[in-house]
Amino acid sequence: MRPWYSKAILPTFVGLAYLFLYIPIIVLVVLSFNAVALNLGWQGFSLQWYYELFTSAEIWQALTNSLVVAFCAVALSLLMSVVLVCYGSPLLHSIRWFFYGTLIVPEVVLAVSLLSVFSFLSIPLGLTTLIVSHVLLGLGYTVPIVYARYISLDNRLLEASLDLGATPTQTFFKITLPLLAPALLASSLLVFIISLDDFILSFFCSGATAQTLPMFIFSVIRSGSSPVVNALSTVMLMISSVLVFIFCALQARTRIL
Amino acid sequence: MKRETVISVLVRCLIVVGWCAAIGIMLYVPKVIKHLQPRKSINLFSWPQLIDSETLQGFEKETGIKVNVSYFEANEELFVKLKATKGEGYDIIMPSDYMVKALTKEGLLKKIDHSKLEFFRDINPALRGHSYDPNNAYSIPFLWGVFGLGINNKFFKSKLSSASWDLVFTDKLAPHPIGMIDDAREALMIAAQYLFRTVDNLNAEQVQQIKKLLVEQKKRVAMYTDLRTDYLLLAGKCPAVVGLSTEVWKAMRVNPDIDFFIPEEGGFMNIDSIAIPASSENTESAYKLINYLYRVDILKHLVEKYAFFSPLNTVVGQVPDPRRMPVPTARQIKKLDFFRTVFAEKQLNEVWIAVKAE
Amino acid sequence: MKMRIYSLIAKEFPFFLVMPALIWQVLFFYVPLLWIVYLSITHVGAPFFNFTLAHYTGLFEAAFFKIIARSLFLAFVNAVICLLIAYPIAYFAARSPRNWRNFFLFLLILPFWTSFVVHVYAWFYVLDTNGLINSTLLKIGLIKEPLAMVNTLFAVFLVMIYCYLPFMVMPLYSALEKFNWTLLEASMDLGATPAKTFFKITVPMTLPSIKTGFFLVFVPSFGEFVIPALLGGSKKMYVGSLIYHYFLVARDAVTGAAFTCLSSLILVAACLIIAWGFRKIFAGSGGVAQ
Repeated sequence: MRPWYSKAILPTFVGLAYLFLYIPIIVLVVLSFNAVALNLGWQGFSLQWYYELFTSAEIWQALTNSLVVAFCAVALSLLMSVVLVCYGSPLLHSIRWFFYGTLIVPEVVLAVSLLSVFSFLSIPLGLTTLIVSHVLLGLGYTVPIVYARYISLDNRLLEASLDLGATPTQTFFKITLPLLAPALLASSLLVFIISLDDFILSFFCSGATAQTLPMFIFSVIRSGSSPVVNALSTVMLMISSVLVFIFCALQARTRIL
Repeated sequence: MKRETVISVLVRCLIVVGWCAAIGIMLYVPKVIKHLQPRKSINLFSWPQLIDSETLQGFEKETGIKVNVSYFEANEELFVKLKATKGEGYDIIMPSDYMVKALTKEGLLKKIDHSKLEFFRDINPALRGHSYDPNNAYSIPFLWGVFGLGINNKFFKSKLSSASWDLVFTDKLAPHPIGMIDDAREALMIAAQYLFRTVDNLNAEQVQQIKKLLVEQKKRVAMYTDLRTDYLLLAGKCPAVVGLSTEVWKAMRVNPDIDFFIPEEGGFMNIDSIAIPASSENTESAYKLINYLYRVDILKHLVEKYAFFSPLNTVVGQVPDPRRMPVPTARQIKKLDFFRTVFAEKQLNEVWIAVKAE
Repeated sequence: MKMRIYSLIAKEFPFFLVMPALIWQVLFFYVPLLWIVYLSITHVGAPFFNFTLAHYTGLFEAAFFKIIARSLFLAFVNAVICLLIAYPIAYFAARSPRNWRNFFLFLLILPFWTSFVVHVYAWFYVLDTNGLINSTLLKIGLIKEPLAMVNTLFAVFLVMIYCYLPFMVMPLYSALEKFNWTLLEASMDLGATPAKTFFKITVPMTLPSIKTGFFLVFVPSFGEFVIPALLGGSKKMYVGSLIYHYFLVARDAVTGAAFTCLSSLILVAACLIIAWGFRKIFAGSGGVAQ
């Protein structure tokens, strides 16, 4: 029989790993209630940073920008990949490799090439270019996920629907889309989060009017931190938790991953 | 059969062209919108920790003009972003002295109409008419400071009364680490001032000496930073830090052990100015914001909060201990140099990459 | 006539719908990359198609290869350590009872979905001289002076592992979750020790996901520059920092383009070598890969 402690090795290791994953997050949350600005240890409970967070017009503007870009990125990339997958049948098997490139290239390379092209063509940098680059990122994730789900669909359902007299359009909206729904939801959550958190692409391709949340946080870190960022991170953590919860619930029920 | 394939191909080409046009239109839309809409907002491109949102909100309340602010941490970043967009999209920018010269050479700045500025006569004369912009035609000094040495006296047996660049270039302070500037141009000029007492007319061999010195210095450096020198001093990591007086003053205000010295070799002055890009169409609002920022009460608030030296003679911030504020005397100002463009880009790159590649 | 137009529209409708995605990808991914390659082989300011390799020859110096080598080293070690840490985590989560599994998955994904810049920021508070680790160790009395952890290579590695761990865990978890655990019982029944079972059955069967995870970590780590800049004291340049330097500081887009292409080629070569290495190591242990 195996000795008693060999059974404990794995859980201990995993426990330590989880601790490693959560130490900085816990520290961040706790310090967001700290009453003093510099990193000089705990000095008392205070909600002042949350107050400053909610009254800072700059952060709200950055948040708005981030959300607008994220929603547009999700909508556009989802739309384009769904029609690509559902209507691109003959070429699809080979064409989908086309889209995997975005994940293979380091983001820095993507960002500088986009910046070079944009500046060469005098395209105004701003929300539009941000959205464009985030949709590019999004396509790299939505196409594989939706494709994987589409392939696993039972073709006979679609054939049956057509046989029973539905037009291709009706079949698309009433049969295909609902069947694809879990994949659509999963990939939209994924793209949403990736767009919200994206830093490198946004840093290179943004203009004057479009400062996103990660860019704001980065410039605060670079120039000496303000604990408002702690409060901001805690709030973002809460939002992420909700989204992750939804994703996990989905995954449990429909096994997308 | 053949005719149908030809038509099919034509239609497909049309579709492709159509989508490309649609995407192209989408990309250029902001340009068009800019011209059509009278904008009630202006775009400010500024250093971080210089203008707080309180001030900007106050401006918005008074004039109804919204200020969109974005940040840059290095002059070169400002230059590249400005050039990439051909200056469009930004209404007020804050270049440093040498950057003003570079930008005027590229034709990216608009001439400033001094008559529109209410405060122009009050600007400290020591800040005006420098070589980078002889008549202040393109830039108005907003903040100034001096590059020197921030010292943490805790590490020294007795309080220092003066300092020299050799504190950061020799092993005097070993084993303690030091903090160094993270900017190629500034680092090279400081090294040049230390080695040769001058930054002009340096030949290739002298540049190699500078390279050797900087590479050798690297093993003593705790952190290369422009804007976090106060953190290095306050956290008690470094006895000496190369930094801007603004940053060191921030640390001095809260810790009596910290001091700032202009090194004996001379030191460097830094003037960050307000400038208007040539392609900005929002000049009216820009002048309103400029006048607002230089108002006595607003400037006082900013100077007190962010610890820079005031550009106006009429505004002096309330400081807890004015004797400690590291404002240079007139004699010291005479000895100060600027970070000018004396090195070729290639030389700068070569040395800096060699330093960082180690 | 009308009928023909309608039938034409109906025939080309799928093409019409499919095009945006393809055009988007081509316009914003392939064209910019080609543009970068083009920039790197033309003379500055010269008319089109005036080719030169001068920008590349200017890069054949020790400093540049040192930087590339350093990035390769960072990326490789990062990927290996992530693999070593991620596998047990994924294994444990995939084998846990149904009701616990979602909880573990939730805990696992949550850090992944928090902004990466925030992670970097948070580690500062932990590793700093006055941060969590130092204050705790000082209080307990284990050390007399605070450890210098920030602005060191150690901090860079630590935070890189932290940020890229989820990329390794996700593919491993999804493969292990679908794993046929009865195979392990069968193997043990046939007399293999747990260790042998693991290395001869589990690992080879999850090899595709190991490879996916490895490259998902290796490739982005190669281009990483934010973490070394913020946590490494900006002391050493990596490929990403140099690209950033060329494009946003030195305003030298052409040399930057050449360097980008050069390091991308080296990256591709490295990936091919690693893929070959995977094949070699796992050549004998079964052709059961999916």
